[in-house]
Amino acid sequence: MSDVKRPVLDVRNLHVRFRTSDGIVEAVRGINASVGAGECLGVVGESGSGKSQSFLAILGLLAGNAEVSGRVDFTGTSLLDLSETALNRLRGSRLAMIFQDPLTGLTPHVSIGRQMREIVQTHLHHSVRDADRLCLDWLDKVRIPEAAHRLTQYPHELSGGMRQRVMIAMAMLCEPVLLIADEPTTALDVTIQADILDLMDDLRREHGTALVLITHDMGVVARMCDRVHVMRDGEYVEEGSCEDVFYRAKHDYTKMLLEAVPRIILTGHPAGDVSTGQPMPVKTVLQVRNLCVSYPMQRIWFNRRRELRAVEDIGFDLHAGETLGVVGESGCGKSTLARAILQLIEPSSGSVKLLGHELTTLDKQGLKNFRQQAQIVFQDPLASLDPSMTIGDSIQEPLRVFEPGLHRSVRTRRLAEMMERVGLSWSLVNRYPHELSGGQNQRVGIARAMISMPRLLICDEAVSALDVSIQAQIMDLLRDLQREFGLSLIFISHDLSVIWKLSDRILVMYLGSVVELASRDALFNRPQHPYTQQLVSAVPVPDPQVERKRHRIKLQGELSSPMDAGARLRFLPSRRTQLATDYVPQLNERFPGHFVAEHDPLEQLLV
Amino acid sequence: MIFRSSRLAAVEASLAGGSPPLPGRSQLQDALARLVRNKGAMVSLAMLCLLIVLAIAGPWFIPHNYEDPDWSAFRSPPSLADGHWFGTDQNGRDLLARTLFGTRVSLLVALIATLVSVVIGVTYGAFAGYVGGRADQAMMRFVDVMYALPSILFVILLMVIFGRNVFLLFAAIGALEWLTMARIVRGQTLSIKQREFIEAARAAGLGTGAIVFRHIVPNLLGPVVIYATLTIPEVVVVESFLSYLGFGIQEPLTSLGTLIAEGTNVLEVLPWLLWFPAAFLILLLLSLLFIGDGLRDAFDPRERG
Repeated sequence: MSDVKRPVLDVRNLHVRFRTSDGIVEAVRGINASVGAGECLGVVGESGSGKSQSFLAILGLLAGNAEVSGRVDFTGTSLLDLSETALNRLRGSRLAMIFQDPLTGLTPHVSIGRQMREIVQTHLHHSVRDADRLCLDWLDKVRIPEAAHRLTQYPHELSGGMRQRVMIAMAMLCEPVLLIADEPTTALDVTIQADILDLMDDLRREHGTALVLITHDMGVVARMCDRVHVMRDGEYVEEGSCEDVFYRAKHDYTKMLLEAVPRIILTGHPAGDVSTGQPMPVKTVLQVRNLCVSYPMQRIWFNRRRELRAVEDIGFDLHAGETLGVVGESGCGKSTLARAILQLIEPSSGSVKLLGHELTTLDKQGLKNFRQQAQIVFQDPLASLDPSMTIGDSIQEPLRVFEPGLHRSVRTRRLAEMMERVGLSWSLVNRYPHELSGGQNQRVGIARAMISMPRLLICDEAVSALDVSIQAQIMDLLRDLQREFGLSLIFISHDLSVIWKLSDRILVMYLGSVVELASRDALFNRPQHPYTQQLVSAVPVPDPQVERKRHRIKLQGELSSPMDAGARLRFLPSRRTQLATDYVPQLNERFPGHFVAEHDPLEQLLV
Repeated sequence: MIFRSSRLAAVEASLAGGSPPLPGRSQLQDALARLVRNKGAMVSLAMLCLLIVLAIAGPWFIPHNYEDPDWSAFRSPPSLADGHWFGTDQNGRDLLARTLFGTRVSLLVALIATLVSVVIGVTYGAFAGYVGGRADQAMMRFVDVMYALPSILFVILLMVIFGRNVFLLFAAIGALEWLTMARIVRGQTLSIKQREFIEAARAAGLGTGAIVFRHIVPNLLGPVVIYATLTIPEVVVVESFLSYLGFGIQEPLTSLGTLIAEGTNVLEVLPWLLWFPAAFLILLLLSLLFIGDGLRDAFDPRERG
């Protein structure tokens, strides 16, 4: 935006302080920012940097114990001096905000139509009919199919991506001058994220809305923003144009952030590769064959009992020291697969062999012995630790179970060694989980999983809840541990770039089935299945020039419910016309070691 | 389990050769720290302690006995001059001595009955919630059936079968109160069961019993402590009611409930026989309720309005 226009929002020397029982906390320390019409300003930072607090403060939405000072000029009005009623008139009409979680942002017991109409009537004083027409118009604009029907639906009836679209439509109803989006796509799957970002970009261009995008994702910034502020500890440490920040970062923190982002580097050669040059390991640690997990659904009166098939006919081998990445969007059954392998959920059929021993038929004692060999690290580091136990007790608990005869001093030595190995200071041993940071807690989770010296470690979204810098450290730790102990890893994530960094082979899941299984480089350089191609093309790349030139593959339809039988044939619509809706696409070996599920040609599936 | 941390003391620090372990603060300790900052709860706690000390030590320091009549003073109103500060009853017994003794009995009932209800209720509820399925259904239906029985009838039946016994009465009250505790604990267990650390414990090979007692029960502490403090006043009231009906404490033993029942009969002529025991009961109940409220706020600071 080169023309010297008056900025829509101009923030000068904004401070936010919170009075808490532990004294005053300075969340935001004197930031300056401005954004003009049609411009997109990115605010990046890790959790706790104050990026959300500063914009909530501008909207007057902070908790009662906050003190805000500074000057905020919004198209000539000083926002901080406005009364609550005057502010209410602005909020939702000329100033709008989109929040991270699209479910909590909508009132659950009010239909979409009524929620939207309420906004129109409050701010524009339209009649019911005009209001409805406007709502319908906007639902169409955010590309929601069957918009008229959606108006009568309730929030829980829509998928996450739909809900976020409704939120955007609601925010845009009164055509605001400024739209503040706080992590608008963080809770969404990557293909839906791509759609939503495109949508916001279109709206900005068509309506000249000024956009403030608060995010932790450098890839999203690279795609969307004109200018970027990097925030840390309540201050902007770097600001400048998107290109400046990405290619000519001055501050060490910015450089560190950019460095920490995992980047997918395509070599272009499906077979020849850079990092997995070791000879193929031979020893098979885990063998999974035809694994199925289904949950019975509640029977309604005398209807036939239906089943939710969460995992369907999955098979693979895992070698010693190898990492298998499992990727797929939410609800595709990746976590169920992990739990079925570990026998935390009983598989309904199929076989799981660890080191040649069949697990599905084990009794209690056998299962206990097996658990020593296979451990799991969970997504939420805090929730996976018992809040009433010190971390020392948590880490050594598996030892108490698997080696009950161990002398206390030996156990303590093993605990100390393991804590040192995962980078936890011994001084933390008596601490409780809520006193540690997310990264430290995840190290505790890893230490607990590793202390029994397992042969197989399953990481279920183990780095997804962490900031990028911490994420990079944890991934390095996992790699080091793997090398040191010859671990076999199954790494589950929705994040393709994380999967890329860690995996030797990758398994792509869609609605409980495998759609593609191949070595990492083959999968990224030569994705075969349309779904994989769509996934790969949707990952934001933290490089503005590359990112803006990329071509995205858009397929018909959204991720549908696993209850819907026809959904499995989304990539094989030619089979849908036949009577057999139960048809499961078969997995074929298209290249050596590269398995692809049956699908129709890509051209027929594009939007 | 909560204070186990202290076991891994500085002795083992030498093993690691690093800096000595810093003491951690559990969520319980955090909650207690918040409780200390709550003025109302602290005043109530002081009041409760005062009542307990009075009830235990008080009778030794006053010249009168709770059962021996003072032949020179029947029905005497409260006065500082003749040594009967709270007055005497129709039989010439010192009301101060009787009130203190009654408080002692009431507190004892509360303590025993609450302990019984906590032990049964927590174990029962935690297992029902954790095991789930048919076992849970069966266990909770049993609780429903017990709820449906008139509790007084149950106590009377026990009295008839086992004879009158003060401690049996205490236990019987506890055996009724655990029903609600079991329901609350089961509900909490159901939500704790969903958390990942339970799955982590299962992955670590722990059995059902170990998971319930090491991972679920310690995390139930907040709601259990809160509910227990709220059970105590209820038990005191139930005991008073049973005594009033004649099933509880019998003469010459006494409790606050019995004293109040007797005082009510002679309200018009000897009003102090009601005032003083009633005042003690109200003080006791109010301080317990305030402590319970304070605990609730302390364990869940976000809910504080």
